[in-house]
Amino acid sequence: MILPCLSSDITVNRRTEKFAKGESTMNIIELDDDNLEYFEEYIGADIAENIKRPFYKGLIAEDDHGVKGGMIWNYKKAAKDCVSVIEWFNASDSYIAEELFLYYRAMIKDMYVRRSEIVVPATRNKAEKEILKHAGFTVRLTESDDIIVTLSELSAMPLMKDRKIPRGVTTLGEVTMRHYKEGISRCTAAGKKGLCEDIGYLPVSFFAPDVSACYINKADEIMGFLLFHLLPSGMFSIQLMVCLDKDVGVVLPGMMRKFVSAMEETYPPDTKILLNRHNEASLLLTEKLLPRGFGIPVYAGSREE
Amino acid sequence: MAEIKKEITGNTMNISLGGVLNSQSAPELYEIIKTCVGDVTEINFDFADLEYLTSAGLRVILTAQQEMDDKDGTMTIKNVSQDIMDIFKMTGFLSILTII
Repeated sequence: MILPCLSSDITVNRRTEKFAKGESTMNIIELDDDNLEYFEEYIGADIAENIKRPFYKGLIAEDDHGVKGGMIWNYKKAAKDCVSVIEWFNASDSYIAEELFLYYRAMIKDMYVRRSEIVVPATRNKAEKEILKHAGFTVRLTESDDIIVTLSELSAMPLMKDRKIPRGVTTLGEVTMRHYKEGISRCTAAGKKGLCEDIGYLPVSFFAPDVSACYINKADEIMGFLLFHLLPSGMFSIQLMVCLDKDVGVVLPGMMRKFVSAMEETYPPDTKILLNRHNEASLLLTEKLLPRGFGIPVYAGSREE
Repeated sequence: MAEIKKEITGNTMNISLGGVLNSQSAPELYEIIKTCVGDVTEINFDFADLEYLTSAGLRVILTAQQEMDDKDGTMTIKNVSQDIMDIFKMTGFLSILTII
């Protein structure tokens, strides 16, 4: 299937020298709400849904024979500049990668992107590494920040032996919109956005209301969030874990207990939960709670733009 | 505890592991790899007597592979039991390791 090139002046339909020889046309297509459904199966629904979010962009490379590659990235603010985090990348060879990065570079130009970062699963021996090195990335084999656990593993954590939920800890579904908005404003002002750079723009419905946990202090202010998003695949993904209260040592474990207890009421023990160890606090907590957790091998790297 | 036997010949380091590679024994192997890897461009593990390994053990194996990967060296693992092979499969290690 070849789609007409859609939207944006970046989107192109170019007949490259290499492809002209084979009478084949290479399309680089910018992903948007309208064409996403055509590529969702190739990309995977869990990552594809992000294209609908404000700071996410994506490209697809396609020729007469089908989809050959693609990438999805997310803009994150860093001081005066911006860092682009490539969250999904796939290219059948370095030529396709080159084409994708050519248009990627044109698209990030207006965003004052200082550096691009990338993480790809190491699934094809060293193929991914060579493709990324060729594209100018410094790449290293490492362990993924993501670990996937089952609900039963969380239920078995030593933390869950004490089922007591601290006063003020409740589910997201039980707080008012005013509370939620004030709490999110407080978090963004403190630079606590978790995995969601766009948290201020996301609707509350993005987070699973019945299992995500919050903490309201005695002054009736939301000071803690443990927010999860239900992915299209049925897996729950942690998005924000923060406590701005001095009782962080009580509140964080309390919100985790609330989350696990709420999950147990509705979901089967084999429900998968994706935990991302994106900062030191989440890394330490995960290592403490789930010392046997292990991320898959990935190639992680960056390049200056 | 794991039994760790190390032998370096030229640029090759051969490491035989026995027992259990877990959070107690993995730091010892980590130290060996970090301190001896200098000019080594080839690491060969023998898992013949290794009973099992935990996530701490996996991390050290990943570190060894990382060291060789950084210098375009090679790393092999031989005599891997089915149980350990299953662990490698579940954790995505099969795609980065050379198991002979």
